[in-house]
Amino acid sequence: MFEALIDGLFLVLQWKAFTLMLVGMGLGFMVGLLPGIGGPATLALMLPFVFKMSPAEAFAFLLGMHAVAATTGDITSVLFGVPGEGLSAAVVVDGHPMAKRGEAGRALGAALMSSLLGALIGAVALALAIPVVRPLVLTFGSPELFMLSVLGISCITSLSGLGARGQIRGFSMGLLGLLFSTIGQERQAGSLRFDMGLMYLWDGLDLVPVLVGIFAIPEIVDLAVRGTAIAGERPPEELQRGVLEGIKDTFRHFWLVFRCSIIGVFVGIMPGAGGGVAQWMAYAHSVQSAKDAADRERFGKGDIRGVLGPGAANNSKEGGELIPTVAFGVPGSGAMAILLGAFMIMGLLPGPDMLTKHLAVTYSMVWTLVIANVIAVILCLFVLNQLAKVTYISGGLIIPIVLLLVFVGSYTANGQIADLIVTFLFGLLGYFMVLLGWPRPPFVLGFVLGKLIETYLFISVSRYGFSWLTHPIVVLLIMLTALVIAYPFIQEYRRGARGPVHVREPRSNDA
Amino acid sequence: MKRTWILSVLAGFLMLPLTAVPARAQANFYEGKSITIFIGAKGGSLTVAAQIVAHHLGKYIPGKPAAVVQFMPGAAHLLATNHVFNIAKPDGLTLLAANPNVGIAQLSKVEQARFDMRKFQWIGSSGGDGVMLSVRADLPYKTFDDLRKADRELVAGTTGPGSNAHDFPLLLKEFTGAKLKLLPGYPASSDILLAVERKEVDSWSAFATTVQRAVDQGAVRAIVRSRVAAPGFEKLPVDEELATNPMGKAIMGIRGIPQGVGRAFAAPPATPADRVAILREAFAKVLQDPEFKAEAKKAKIPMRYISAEQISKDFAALLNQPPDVLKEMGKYIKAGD
Repeated sequence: MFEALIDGLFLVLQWKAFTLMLVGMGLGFMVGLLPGIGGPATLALMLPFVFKMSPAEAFAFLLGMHAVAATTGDITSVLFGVPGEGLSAAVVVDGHPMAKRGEAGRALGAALMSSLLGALIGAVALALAIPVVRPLVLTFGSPELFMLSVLGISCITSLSGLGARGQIRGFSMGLLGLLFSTIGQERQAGSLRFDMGLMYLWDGLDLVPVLVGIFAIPEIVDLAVRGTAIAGERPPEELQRGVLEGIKDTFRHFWLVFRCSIIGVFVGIMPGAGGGVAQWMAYAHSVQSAKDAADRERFGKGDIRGVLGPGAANNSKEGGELIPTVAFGVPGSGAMAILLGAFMIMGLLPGPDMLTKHLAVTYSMVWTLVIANVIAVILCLFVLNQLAKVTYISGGLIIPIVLLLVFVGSYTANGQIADLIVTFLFGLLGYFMVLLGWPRPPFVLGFVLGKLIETYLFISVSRYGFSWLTHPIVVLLIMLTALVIAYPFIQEYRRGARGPVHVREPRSNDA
Repeated sequence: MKRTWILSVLAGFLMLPLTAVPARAQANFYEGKSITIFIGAKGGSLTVAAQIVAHHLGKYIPGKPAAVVQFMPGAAHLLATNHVFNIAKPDGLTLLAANPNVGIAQLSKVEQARFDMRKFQWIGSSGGDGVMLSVRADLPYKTFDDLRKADRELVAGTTGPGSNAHDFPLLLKEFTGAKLKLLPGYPASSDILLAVERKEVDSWSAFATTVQRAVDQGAVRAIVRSRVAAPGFEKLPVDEELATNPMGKAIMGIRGIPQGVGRAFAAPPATPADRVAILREAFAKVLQDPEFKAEAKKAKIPMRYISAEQISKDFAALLNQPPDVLKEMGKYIKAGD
């Protein structure tokens, strides 16, 4: 195994593979910063070029591009509140408020550094896990995956405001998210739900236009209403120091970054869970790490920990997602589905062979992710100072550009005009949610997990009746879920025992 | 006499452009342009096969245009099919890498199927692909008879009505007495195979070439096939021959026709005939190209040229069903992918 690890590294370091990786990264940068084309779509466009490459070269090229797009996605999330990759939306929740406070440099420094650490920790975890990963994944059947999704959705208690009012609001939004996830053709009997006669809705709502709408549009409206630059009238922060501060923050909260990286890898490894879930679970975990209620109140208003957690998970999950793709042929995301196409073109078969006979190739993929991430972050750090200045450009000049990013970005998700309408409608919804203080993260969690929960619950019950409730891992996950649900209340209770801390009217967690 | 001779030569010269120009015009037409091939999916063997065809199509068309595959997933290929039939410009620059199963949607008069498979300008197909039912390798059931006499109902994972994974075991269960219990709801075919590996599911049906890969890996054992055989599996029993009543056989036959058509390419109905001819010729040449064959072999997709004529004939047959069969079919088959 160790030999394969080294072989894998040398496969990537061959001049041809390495050059191709750099070319891929260059393309990834352009795509990531201008979400006009979108990660998976670019990967698809590049597929014809891999015909003449060796497997290590092809994956260096494709994954180099993919890794960078994931990293740079954080940049638009922080600066404009536009989820760059669609899946980097959790970084928006705390990252963008920081930019509005004039701390864009710090937020970006933290996002990138945590991405880097996440990628490294993820790769190490993955390298260590490869020998046991197949049995591990195979112990997670539909009942276990269902409970894992329930565990994910139980994070809503942490993502909602404190007190009964906050919790009720959080859960209502979570349920609304679940409801929206039921749109489209259901998988059991094939019947159409809420399709309003539109073919566009057969496959359900796409995550990208929904997220972009719900997070970016309210920010644009806010910016227009304020009539100032994103960072307001504040005197420019010392950007150089801000970025440095963000990097330091990453190490100040190293264990949080570490735990969130592990969450990212683990969720990424689970087939079908998908990367969108990982980020939000990491974000929820960051919130849970708050010391007390007053500390928790800071989240959603620009807390650095809210940037670090999802930032770390965002890149560590990339490594994790390789596993179901490589070892089982079950793609974890749209990009991974296209990568599977490259597998076929290369004449490689996803499956156990990739973890034994072709282990060096698999490791070369892990190495590519690591190396590409390191290079990307170092390059980004050089330009961050310039990028952060964007937040001081007057709103009138920046709004048209951000609007363009928003609509082009969501249009390219599926290439349909209806995507623009969905973006607009969810923008409207998002605007009112912000206006009236209903939290957005629980909605997203419900929306992302709804389909998984339905799918795996149905299969569990029709396959096992109710006996699945006694599966050992299921029992363990049920207990963990109970703990996650109770945690904020325990926290509150403990604070109460220590004597009252003045907490004002409980507000939603989402600024 | 002499004058007539001169006149006829002159007339000949005048006629010359009429014969020569179209070929040159087409060369000019495709030069510097690119052909877009729409496909209603994002991944899978259908997509990879289309990529491989696209990789070589341009070099056999005068003017050497580029050919690009564009994904347009949605509504089980209906979206892409509707788009190319109704919206795409019929200028010979837009093609559809069709999923022939949409023909079943047209047959069952799905409202959203706004096309007529008989009116497409077919270019050709890179080969049919049948369906096979497989059983987890560690189970004792080795033949179809074992499946009939099984001591319990085997759990067949499916991706829901309308899919090969669902309809194939469903018809076997209804019309051949195979002991199967359908478990729909899996997101994709690969998820079912994963469920087989973790012993949640006993049986998995999919495209023959896909099942073949899993057979090679030792994960499953192929038991029954539909009429189009994957190389090496010709001897497996065929579903239509196992059917215990003619209605079942007829319905299985309907499902079998699109599988025979396979990975077909089409141009919009109003595409000019001369450009269609160029595309057909180029497509036929691609299938003979040694580099193309090598790439297909590497990707383990068996390619076989099927002519446009044959495709039109098959779809005409598919869409010409007696009402009683259609009615009966409606009970079992729902349009989907």
